[in-house]
Amino acid sequence: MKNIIVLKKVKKHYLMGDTVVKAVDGINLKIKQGDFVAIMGPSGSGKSTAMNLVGSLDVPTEGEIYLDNQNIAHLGESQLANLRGKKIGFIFQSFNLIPNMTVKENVALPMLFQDYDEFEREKKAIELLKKVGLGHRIDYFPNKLSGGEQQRVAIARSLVNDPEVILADEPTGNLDSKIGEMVMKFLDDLNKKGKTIVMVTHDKELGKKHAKKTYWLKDGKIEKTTK
Amino acid sequence: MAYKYSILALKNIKNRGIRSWLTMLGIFIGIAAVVALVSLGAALETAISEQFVGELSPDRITISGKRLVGVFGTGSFDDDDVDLISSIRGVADVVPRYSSFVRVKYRGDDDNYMISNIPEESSDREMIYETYDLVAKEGRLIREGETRVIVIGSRAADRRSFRTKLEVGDNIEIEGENFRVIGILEDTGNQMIDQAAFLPQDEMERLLDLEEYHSIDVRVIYRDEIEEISQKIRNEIRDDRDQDRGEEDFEVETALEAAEAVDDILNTIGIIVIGIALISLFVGGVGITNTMYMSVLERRKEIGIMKSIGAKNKNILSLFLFEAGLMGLAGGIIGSFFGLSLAYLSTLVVGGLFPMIDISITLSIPLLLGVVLFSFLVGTLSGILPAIQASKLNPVDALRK
Repeated sequence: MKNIIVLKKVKKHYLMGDTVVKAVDGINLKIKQGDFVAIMGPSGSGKSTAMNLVGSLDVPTEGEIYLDNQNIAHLGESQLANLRGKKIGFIFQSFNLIPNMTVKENVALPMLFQDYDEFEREKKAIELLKKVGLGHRIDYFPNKLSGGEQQRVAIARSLVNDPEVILADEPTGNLDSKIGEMVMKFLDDLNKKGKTIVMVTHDKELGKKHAKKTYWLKDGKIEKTTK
Repeated sequence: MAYKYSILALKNIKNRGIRSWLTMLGIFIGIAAVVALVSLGAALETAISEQFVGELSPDRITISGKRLVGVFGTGSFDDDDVDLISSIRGVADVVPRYSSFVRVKYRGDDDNYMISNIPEESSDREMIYETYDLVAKEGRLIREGETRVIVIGSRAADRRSFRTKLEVGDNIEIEGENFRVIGILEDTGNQMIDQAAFLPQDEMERLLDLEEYHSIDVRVIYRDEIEEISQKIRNEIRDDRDQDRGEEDFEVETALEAAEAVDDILNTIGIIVIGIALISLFVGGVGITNTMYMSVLERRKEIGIMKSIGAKNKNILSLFLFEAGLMGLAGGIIGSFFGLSLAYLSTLVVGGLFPMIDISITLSIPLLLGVVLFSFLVGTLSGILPAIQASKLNPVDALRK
């Protein structure tokens, strides 16, 4: 399998007042296509920053990041947005659905920015919502759904442009363990179908149970790697 | 592309509910003011120029009181004044004029007429017929030495207060005396003349016991001397009355000057109106800017989400610009509607107060289109700064709310 994500000596430093915060301080890693990777560590260890860098939401201060063999460390805003739209699907701890849009509109939104027409957007959104078991909820607003349902909507949205990589930031953090398990099962299934999954979590059990490989971060550096 | 953002933008505007309406109010008031005042201004211009100027007679000078009411004077002049003017070189005819409001009765109904005189001497009479464009539509005009006859303006014959329309041959009563209608005039386009009636001069003097003329009409021999002669008339009468320059109790005006004076007034009104409208549109625009800034703050997270799922800066920029533009557009459309209604209501009020003035609003499609387009533009421009701020938000910061 080819390497889908490669980080070489990646650093992300920023100023907070007068002090330099070394959120990510020289990370090297390679993630193969179809892998399921967990990034673990205590809060402040730099795991979220690392994920933002991989997800092209942010650019590194130093180092190179390759996404599907393309160096994204020096890309401009518009090209980064393009990558986020096409190659990456995000799943957030707090679901991050847009409250004044229906479930269907939320799922269809990423396609709007990729210039799909309305018919295609609607068709694909409904198809994906049925897959995550929410076919009966398409015209609901997010606040009428339970946490588990909202996260399934977010999963459907992350898949709508058929990305190579799914980035999940504490996907079960706001859910109770039973509902969390159900959401994780969706991620396992996606991984079995070939999607690369990178999950940030501080839940050791979750990482151990679902990920094939775990990077342990501390103070912006990889402390250890376990399988 | 415009379409998909406009739906999203509309949703967001709708979502802000009462705040969107309040924001639009600024644009709404500005546009309503523009549409109402421009429509009303155009209607007034038409009405006033019909009223006060009519067909321009470039060889005519009117000497009247300080307040000139259309073609009817409010001054007081005597035969000495007439002689004085007649003696000025270059003056062809001098015709003294009366204008009086009288109560007329017709078949048990009554109404007010502005009455003016038709001179007894034939050359003067012809001059009046000619300058005021008096032509009989039915019947005939007044001839020399006639008594107990009256000629009625086209609109004066058809007053609402009369249950039956006046016809040639009918009798009407003025000051207890009967007058036979011998003619009804064609429309002259001059509202004041169309609403008036005309008596032979001797009859009018006798009936109303008139001693002073209300105005004097002068015709000059050569048109290019008109300014010079009007200045001479002013000087002569002022000296005769022993008045200081600028303190005269009379007015000498050529037809062209009358037109220019009306034009000046309308232009001044126009400038004031546009000034007020621009101020209110500016305030409206600032309102939109403010609302959009608030919206950017409130929707930081939403902007972050959109960026994380592939929205480019220019997508966010378009969305916010569209929202601002649509608010302007909606304010403009509603404002135009209210402005037109307001202008229409104003004409009803003016028409009710002054039935002699015929004022009507014409719907100007270019004005409406222009105004609506302009309001969209004002909205969009007002949204530029907030939209840039929204589009430049760093996705990581925006998501971390």
